[in-house]
Amino acid sequence: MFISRKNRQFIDYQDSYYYRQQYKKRRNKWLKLSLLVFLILLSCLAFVRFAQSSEMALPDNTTNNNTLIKGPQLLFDHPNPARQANFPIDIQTNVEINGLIAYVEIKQTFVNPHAIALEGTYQFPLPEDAAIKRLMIKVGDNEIVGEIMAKSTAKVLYQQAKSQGKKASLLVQQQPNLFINKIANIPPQASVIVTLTFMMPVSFSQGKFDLRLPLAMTKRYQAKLSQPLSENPQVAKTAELTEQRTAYSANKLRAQLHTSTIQAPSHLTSIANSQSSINITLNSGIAITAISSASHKIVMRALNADQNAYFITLNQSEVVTNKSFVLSWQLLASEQAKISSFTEQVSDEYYTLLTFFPPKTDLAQVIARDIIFIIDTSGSMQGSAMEQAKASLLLAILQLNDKDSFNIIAFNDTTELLFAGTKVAASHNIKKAQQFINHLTADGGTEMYRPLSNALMMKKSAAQIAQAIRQIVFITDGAVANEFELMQLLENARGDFRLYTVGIGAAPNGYFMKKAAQFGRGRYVFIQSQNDVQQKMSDFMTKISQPAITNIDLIIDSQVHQHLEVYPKSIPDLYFDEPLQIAIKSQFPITSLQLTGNTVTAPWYQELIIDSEQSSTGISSLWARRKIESLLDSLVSGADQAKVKFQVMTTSLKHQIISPYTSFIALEKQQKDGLLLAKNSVFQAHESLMVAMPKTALGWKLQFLLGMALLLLVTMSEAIILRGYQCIKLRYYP
Amino acid sequence: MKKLIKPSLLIIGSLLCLQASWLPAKAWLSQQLISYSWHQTLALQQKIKPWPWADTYPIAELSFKRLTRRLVVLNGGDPSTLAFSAGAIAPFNKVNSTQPFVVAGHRDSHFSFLNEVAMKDIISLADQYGQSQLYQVEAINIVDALTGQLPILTDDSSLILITCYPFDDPSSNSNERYVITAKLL
Repeated sequence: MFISRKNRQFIDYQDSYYYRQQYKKRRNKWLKLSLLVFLILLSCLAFVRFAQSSEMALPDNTTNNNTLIKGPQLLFDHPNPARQANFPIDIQTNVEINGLIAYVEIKQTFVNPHAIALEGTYQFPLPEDAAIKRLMIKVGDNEIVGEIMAKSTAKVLYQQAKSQGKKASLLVQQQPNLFINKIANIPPQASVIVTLTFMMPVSFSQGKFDLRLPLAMTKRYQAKLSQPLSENPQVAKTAELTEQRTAYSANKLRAQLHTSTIQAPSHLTSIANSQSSINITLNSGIAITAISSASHKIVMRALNADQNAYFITLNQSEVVTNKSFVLSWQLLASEQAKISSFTEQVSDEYYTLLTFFPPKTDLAQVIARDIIFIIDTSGSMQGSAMEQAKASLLLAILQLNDKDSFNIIAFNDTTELLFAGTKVAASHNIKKAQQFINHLTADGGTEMYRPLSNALMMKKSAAQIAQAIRQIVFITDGAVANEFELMQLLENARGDFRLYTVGIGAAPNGYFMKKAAQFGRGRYVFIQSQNDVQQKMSDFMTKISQPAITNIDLIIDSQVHQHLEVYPKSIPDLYFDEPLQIAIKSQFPITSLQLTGNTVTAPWYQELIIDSEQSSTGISSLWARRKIESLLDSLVSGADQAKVKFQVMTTSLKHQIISPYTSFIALEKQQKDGLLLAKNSVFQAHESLMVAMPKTALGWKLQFLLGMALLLLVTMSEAIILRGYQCIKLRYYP
Repeated sequence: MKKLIKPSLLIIGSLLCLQASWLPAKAWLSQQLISYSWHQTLALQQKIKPWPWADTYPIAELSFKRLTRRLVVLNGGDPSTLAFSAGAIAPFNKVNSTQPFVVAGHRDSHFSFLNEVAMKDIISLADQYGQSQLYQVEAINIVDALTGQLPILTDDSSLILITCYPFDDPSSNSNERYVITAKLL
């Protein structure tokens, strides 16, 4: 019992040959075994990986079978699916661009090529952020007119139509913002003329403007149509007649539009080989260059000598193919921020739009900042979201410069601070921060109020200069229950600060992110995957480190203009590479105004003379959109709901801009004795929102199967070996 | 040597099985806690977390009349919520509003019964005040999820249930979703 090991060691048999052999053998055995286990594990892992990756690679092809929707289409309710899709034989587009908004009117002509009357569905892929203003569909004597109406009215009409057995239905498609409208009873060989009016933003990045119109018109249709038409003169004649009739009734519309094939429908070839006409009036308000189209050949004509107004059409020889129309132009680089202005007069009200264009980026100067990062480490961030958040934060920390001071707040249901106050971004502090970030894990609940108020109240580092801007960068998935409480906190917060939100994960609460950034006069960015982190985060950090003009203020003669409505109500900062729009409504035309603000180096002042003679379309609509947004935001700070609803509705109806309280309804009317009578069939158009679909499979079954297979293998192999052994035994030792 | 392969394989196999069955077991266990907290929520009219460190709370109850099934829906569509029950995805997580109500769940745990849901089935959705609304299944679609986005009509008060497709696929990756749309009655 009491014999110790030490005593044993005195027995010296280790040098013996026998021991060495034994030892060697034993070691080999263990080596082999551990190798085997390792190999098995490795193969298991590889198998799981392989099974998953093959799963992922498979379904790519199946998705592309959907009919591509690149441009307007009319889907006929034809029994043969191959003959359902129908493309316009003619498209005429009139576009008026004022600064950053485009007012588009597209007139498309479709023909029912079939010998029977059919029901059709009109589809149009609206560009992102486009707002429909009006819709007019003409089929023979029938006219469908789409307008924005109060929701209650729309509902009554909708129910009426439904109770009379007239179906008003819609289609859901895998396409963002697809506008859909049903058209009943399209006679054979009749034409359908659809006029759609909408507003869309012009995208602007790095001094370059882009406008993309979804006009794709494929040649497929023409080839199909021209054959039966030329073979069958009877059909051709009816088509011709219909064309003439529609041309007659659409006289007024046509007067506004440019030359077209409809005006001279006597030759069918002209219908079959028709081509789009695109007329664009481009008013940039500031000097531009390099107008070009990557998709089509264009012809342009300057409207004045200031390099800011052009008229653009398609080159006559240009045949439209199945491409969207793309137009781009370039800002004439300047060292000063440029401001363009447009005015629209609607009845006796004046709408003014100011668009600020930032100066050249390379002039950017870095400012001193007192920056606080808030990172969400709640349970909802678990997994890839947390990894992305950490990667983003690590990247952001590295982009700080020596003028900055910073701090990090991590929160779930408790709050954890890196430092008590903000500290200078010196290398030892950054090292501490990196350690702090690496140790963060996602768990627990979301209590956002405390870290946010903490950040708002936090003391500035003593080493930091007084002018340093307090920036708060909030990294979260926005899964919060008390959105309104947080907004109120931001709304009521005093002091000069800017709040930026970084939305993480596949499905961040986008509404919260955008609104929080808006209330905090900052910007937002969404990071959807790990691949996004590097690019998007460094762009974002660069952007917020260089505001071009801060604290912008408008000064308008208050003696003359007593009732001004300016949106956005609190003017955000102007950043490099991002223009800023301000919409104003006034009783009298605004002829001049002054602007003040701060650049990094000096105070900024500019006086603007506005030429209000020329009326630009779309300004009032933009203003109305901004007003509705602002009214809905006021609900957050406790505005009276009924009052807001009333105001939103009146604005929406007056300016024909969709809102939560109104809907876009298309009403069918029939022409009788020259009068248009409303028929009780109603078609409702909808606005859609993209929602991210989460991963909805646990995948436990695969792993379970694998485990079971292993167990089975062991027992089976045992049985096989046993049987084999028995066989051998039987054969050799009978 | 041979003697050691067998037990190690046995151990690995059973470990894999155990780890795999932990996921549905967790899903089942949490359901008990969640349904308890849901009853508490109904009784006290408060948001009650199913366990103190939870990041979510029950917001509604789905019941499928024909299938005699009930399921308490949690708030949020993030992976940690979906591990415990089906979750309502923001911003469509408000019951009794004019907006749609969108619920996602795992095809191999809480929403495994969705393939039994048929057209015209009646689904009732109860909010925390005990008021319930009836919905009727109007469409069942299989959509491509490569983009990860689903367009939803914002002004339509419908109920939308999302799960992965196909149902009998054992893996955890899927590029298709099974989407059930039900109209408010």
